[in-house]
Amino acid sequence: MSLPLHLAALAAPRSATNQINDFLTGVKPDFVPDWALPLTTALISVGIAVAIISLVAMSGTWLERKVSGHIQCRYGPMRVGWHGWLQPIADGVKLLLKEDMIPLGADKPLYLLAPALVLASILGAMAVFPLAPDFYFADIDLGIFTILALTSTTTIGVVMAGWSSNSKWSLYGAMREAAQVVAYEIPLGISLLVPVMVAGSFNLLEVSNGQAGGFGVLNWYIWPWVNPFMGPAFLLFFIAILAETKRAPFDLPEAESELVAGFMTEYSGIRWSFFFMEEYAAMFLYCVVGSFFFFGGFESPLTSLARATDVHLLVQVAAAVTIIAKGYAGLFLMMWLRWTLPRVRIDQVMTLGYKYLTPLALACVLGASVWEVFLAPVLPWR
Amino acid sequence: MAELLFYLLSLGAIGFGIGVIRTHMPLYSVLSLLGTFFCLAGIYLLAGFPFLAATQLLVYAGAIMVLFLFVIMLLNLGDRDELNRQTGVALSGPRLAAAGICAGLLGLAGLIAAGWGGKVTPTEAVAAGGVDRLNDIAEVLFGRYMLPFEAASLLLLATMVGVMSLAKRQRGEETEAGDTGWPWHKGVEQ
Amino acid sequence: MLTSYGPILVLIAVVLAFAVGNIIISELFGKKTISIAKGDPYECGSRPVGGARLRLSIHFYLVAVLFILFDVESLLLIPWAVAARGFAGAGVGGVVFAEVLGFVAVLGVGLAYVWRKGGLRWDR
Repeated sequence: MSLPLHLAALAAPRSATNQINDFLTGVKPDFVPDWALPLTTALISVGIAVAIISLVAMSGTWLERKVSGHIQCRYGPMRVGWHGWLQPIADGVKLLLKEDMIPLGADKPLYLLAPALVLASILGAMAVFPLAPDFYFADIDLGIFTILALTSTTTIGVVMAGWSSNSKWSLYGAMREAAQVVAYEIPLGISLLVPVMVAGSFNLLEVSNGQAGGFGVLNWYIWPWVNPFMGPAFLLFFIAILAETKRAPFDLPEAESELVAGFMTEYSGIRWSFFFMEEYAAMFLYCVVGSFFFFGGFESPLTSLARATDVHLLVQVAAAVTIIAKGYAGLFLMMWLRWTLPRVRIDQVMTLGYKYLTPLALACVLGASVWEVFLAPVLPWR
Repeated sequence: MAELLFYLLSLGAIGFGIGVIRTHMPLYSVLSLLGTFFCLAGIYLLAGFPFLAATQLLVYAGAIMVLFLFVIMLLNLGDRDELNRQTGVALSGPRLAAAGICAGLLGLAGLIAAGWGGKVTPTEAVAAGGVDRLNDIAEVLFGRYMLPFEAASLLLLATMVGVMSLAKRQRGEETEAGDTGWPWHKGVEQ
Repeated sequence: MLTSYGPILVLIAVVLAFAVGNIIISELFGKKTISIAKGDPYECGSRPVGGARLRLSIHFYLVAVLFILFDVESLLLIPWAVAARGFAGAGVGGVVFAEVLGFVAVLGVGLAYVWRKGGLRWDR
């Protein structure tokens, strides 16, 4: 009548969770009850995911300060550890020890809930991101679609934060964020349809597999010989993710020179840091998505080389190194842009989103489909 | 596990639904509605329709919620006292009776449906063959339901025209700031 | 379904627990001083003027409605994007492409209408 599901079954057949479960079954002493096993498995695998995410967020803050420093001919943080690499940990401890303020006029339940909600929705999306071809948490056919759906709910948390703070800066920041994020979600989704069409799948693993071969480089979807509309689609995608993650030149929701800190003006201490973790996690997530859909995913010369050796573990490590390196490359690009471009105005944001990006993205998809439907079948290299 | 989750989500959906009409603040209403949508998405997922679940999140939790929030801010429905009395539905004898009758009828309908269709658990509904592959959806959408698909675009066009005329009529009535008079500011010396 | 989507739920639950845990740690070790002036919303050091529940411009409403419409549109295009090559392989690629072209064209007309009517102008 019903499926006998328990926690161990939460994992797909070859997923990381199952590998951990197998390992634990091997080493389990007799006095440990059976039901503890799936629970431990779930906790360990989620622990790994949370560790990766916090590492990304922490290194992101450090990288941001170093990059911005060097772009402005400064060093950035230098005191804590070699070139300040321990700075994020010092910051974390400081934030934990700071006072967690609640403004008197705040709507308390919403004010308290908002940062956790924002964090949960972006990190839930992280579960879809496979770390290596055989190491992932959720193998989902609708991979990128699920990511888009989950990340779209962060807006709610931000609006909650802005409204409940009872501050004008917060409210304006939140409203700007909501308007901007929804305006750019459309070009984001539509431009992603171009690689989806070529791959014929939403699944990140399948998309990556579709770009294998060609020394790990030549079959990346970004190349014009795969589909000439891919390049423009990537440009649209990249502009859209800058706006989605509230990065300069689209950092209006938290524009420090006009709105103090936007929707997080009234937040302090650890709650404030949740918003930052969300921002860096979202940046990394979108960069990884871009790498999967345009820049080969796990495929690189390194992965090809590892595959030639035919050692399973080596391939996995090479693939993980590849995707993380690509993610950080995207992160660096976003930071570079932040210190290069001035902020745009709100009317320019809306004009760009609706008048240019959306029609262009639609044109891209239609053009790409002409190529895929009518030309690709007769192209000798496809 | 799946059954337990189903009942939890159903309870959650109903609970949040009650929250929508019981709360005194418009924003809390909207957030309760959001909770209902999340629970429904979970139920779709359990029933084996991930595309529907993700769509639910994207359209309802993402888009419609933002629209509702904007409308609330637009109308400036804050937490002022006179509004509190209007938006909250007070429990009274006739209302409770009406709610009871509605619930009874719904339950009866559910029982009848269960009796006719045979007992269908959520997990069996999946086995009954849900269309959860995107390729299958595409096949029916662009084959059998070609005309409704095209009609949908006309519907969207009509909505755009309607929205434009609505917005045009309201233009000019915008004000820069709402009124003051914060409950939390009353006690503070000025 | 639970097998593939379960991890997301577990991750969300753990992240929420992580958030609550951090907040508890912060509550335990952070200092707390409460004063009326500190509880005021930040307005560059001055005393707050008026309330914070401001009225929004109608533009926000327009943006949100347009977003819903285009969101629905891109949702309807999703199954096509995934299946486009399959359709081409089955020999109906042209027909389906014409369908989608008609769909997008109608919505393009809608966008042009909104544009023309000034619905996309933020400065008015």
